[in-house]
Amino acid sequence: MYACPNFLSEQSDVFVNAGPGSPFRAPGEPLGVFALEQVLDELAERLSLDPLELRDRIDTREDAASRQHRVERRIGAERVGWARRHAPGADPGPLKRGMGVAQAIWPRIVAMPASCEVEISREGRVEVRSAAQDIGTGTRAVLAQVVAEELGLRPEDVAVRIGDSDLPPAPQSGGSNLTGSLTPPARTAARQAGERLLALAAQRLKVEKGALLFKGRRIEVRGEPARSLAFAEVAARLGRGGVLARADRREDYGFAGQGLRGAIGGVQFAEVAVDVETGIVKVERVVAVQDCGRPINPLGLENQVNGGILQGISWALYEDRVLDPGSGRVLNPDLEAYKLVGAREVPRIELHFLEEYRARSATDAGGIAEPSNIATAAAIANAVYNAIGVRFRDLPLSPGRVLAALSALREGRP
Amino acid sequence: MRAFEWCEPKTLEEALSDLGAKGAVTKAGKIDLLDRLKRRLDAPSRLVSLRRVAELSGVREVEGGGLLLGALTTLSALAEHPLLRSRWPALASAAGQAATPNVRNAATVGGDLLQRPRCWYFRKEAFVCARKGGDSCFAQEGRNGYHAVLGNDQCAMVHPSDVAVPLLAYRATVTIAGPLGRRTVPLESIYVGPDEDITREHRLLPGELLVAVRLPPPGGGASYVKLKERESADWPLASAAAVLEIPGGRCTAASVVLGAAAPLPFRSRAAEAELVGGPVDEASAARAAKAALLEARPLSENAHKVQLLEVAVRRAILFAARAV
Repeated sequence: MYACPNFLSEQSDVFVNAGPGSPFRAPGEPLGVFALEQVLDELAERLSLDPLELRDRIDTREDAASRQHRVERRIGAERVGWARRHAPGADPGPLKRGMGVAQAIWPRIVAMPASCEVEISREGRVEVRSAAQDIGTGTRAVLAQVVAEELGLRPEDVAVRIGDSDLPPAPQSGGSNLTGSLTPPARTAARQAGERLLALAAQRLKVEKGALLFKGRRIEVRGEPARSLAFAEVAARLGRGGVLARADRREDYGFAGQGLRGAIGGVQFAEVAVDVETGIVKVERVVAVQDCGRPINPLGLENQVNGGILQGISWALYEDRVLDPGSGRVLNPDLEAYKLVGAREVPRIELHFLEEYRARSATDAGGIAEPSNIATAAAIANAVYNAIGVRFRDLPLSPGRVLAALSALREGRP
Repeated sequence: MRAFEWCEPKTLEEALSDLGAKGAVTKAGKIDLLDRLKRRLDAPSRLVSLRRVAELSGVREVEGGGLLLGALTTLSALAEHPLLRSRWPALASAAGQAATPNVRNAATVGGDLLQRPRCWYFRKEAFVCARKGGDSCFAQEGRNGYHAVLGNDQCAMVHPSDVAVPLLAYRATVTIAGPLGRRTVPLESIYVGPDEDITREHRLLPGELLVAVRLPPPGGGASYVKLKERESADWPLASAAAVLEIPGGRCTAASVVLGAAAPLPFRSRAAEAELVGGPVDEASAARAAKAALLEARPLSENAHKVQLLEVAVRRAILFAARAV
């Protein structure tokens, strides 16, 4: 993430006689960032630098994420009120408040083959099809939106058929790749199918095809809205089979072969309150500044980022698989004892999106599901340090762990 | 799940008669029962649903200013009852902080008081611990971050009832009906420690039924403090209830009860002794909290619970003093 020539990191897995246990959103990344972003905070403190200033100095790579981070740090600092940040433990009374920041990077993954077909029937019915799965992330919605926009329709006019391997192949729903991989061929297929309608309309309206555009469920002559035909009226002139077009995802324009493909960034700020008598940590506020190329569905985007932050809080404060040391059995395989963030733990969440357009594909879209989750636990840990002056190398930040660390601090133990 | 017979008695007499059969188990709010059935901890041959027994429902005032809670009164009803909220607020608070709204709508006060341990070794079929007829307590050498710090040498479960803690502090009594008639005894006296009989948590015999809980008129100020990892639906890491009478600035009577501390809801007479006879302030509250945990013997992973319980006791005492 940083332009640092002297960087060594090691990551190791420990194998035990039990099922594997690891985070499942942005696998590996929240863990690495939890370590890295805390180390940077420690470094900043040693150098008497503001953690944001240190990042300004070393986050200088010549890539998209670096440029985005710089803007995101500035926006986030203003929104969160970074100037209010005080020295660790400065609050009187048992409740100590703190503020922390962490940033993330995620490759902008384009997976192939990623194909879509769009069919327009004589009845004017439009259907977009792909084998992709919607795992609750809004794949159906973005496909309908992109096709509708191309054809001057409303998203509800477009039927979406997905989740069937008979349909044109699509990548797995992982790596936050699907929106960025699949919306460009969806748009291209819609465009290609639409060309047939434009040709038919051009004959009727006696203009060049290039003079026509799709708008408001009609096809109209550019600049002459009075000369137009209804979408359905033109579709009715199609042959019996309607029109079917298929498009395949191509490499991004100008980015082929680049490992990070103009990576996705994201900076998150957390404010916490730590009760030093009970060790109970509460996240009071998260300010997230995220980017993912061109946002396609703002509501879906907010939903993803809210979810990413909540899952990050869940890891940071609550989730813990408890294994019996004698038998290797999981002692808390239920939602009573395996604790997840709940409704009462939801902090104030403020989102800001940096829209980043560089014409890399037909839609310029990226993914957000995993990027939104990576920095949260690290930002919380840095905020906890800012609140009470204790660094944590382990999660979750449970009351027992916090109290043990505070008593070690008081007694001068490492 | 083993097949069972289903009974729906309409009167207490019918219920007691249905419960007389071997292998009969009562079903009230079915929160604990269903979990036990699913985890194969219990395999009753007959379930006696209490839902239609009118005598077990309702909250009513009794002569002398007390309150009678039918055993089927739900935790939601306790949490929302205006009389409880104004006169027995520690109980309303404990009931309102238990579990989730859906569970509180079903769970009953009788079931809450008599529920079986939530210890994760007890709840897993694979671990045959001393409480299930085995010969050891797996928590002693195992994972015990949530376990007891007091009276934990034979069994380290913590008593799971949220409402028992304030009910003990209010010196509630319970009425138990059975084949031999009815008796009304202090709630505290129905609980059984592991040193007395490790296989049971309470003194009710098979065929007996907890009919009602009686709250005496409240004296002085009361409070309940529950410390938990999450605000949403969580068991306490530590809880405490205090009921204090402080006429003219001197404490004349004190009840201090700890939850999630011991295999029983734990009334601390040592803490009460620190308070009675003097003013209740930061210093005496801290002394009382220390006294309550003097005998604490934490296990390998729960040392922090000693501090959490001290904080809960100290805060409960100070809040109760403020509420006088």
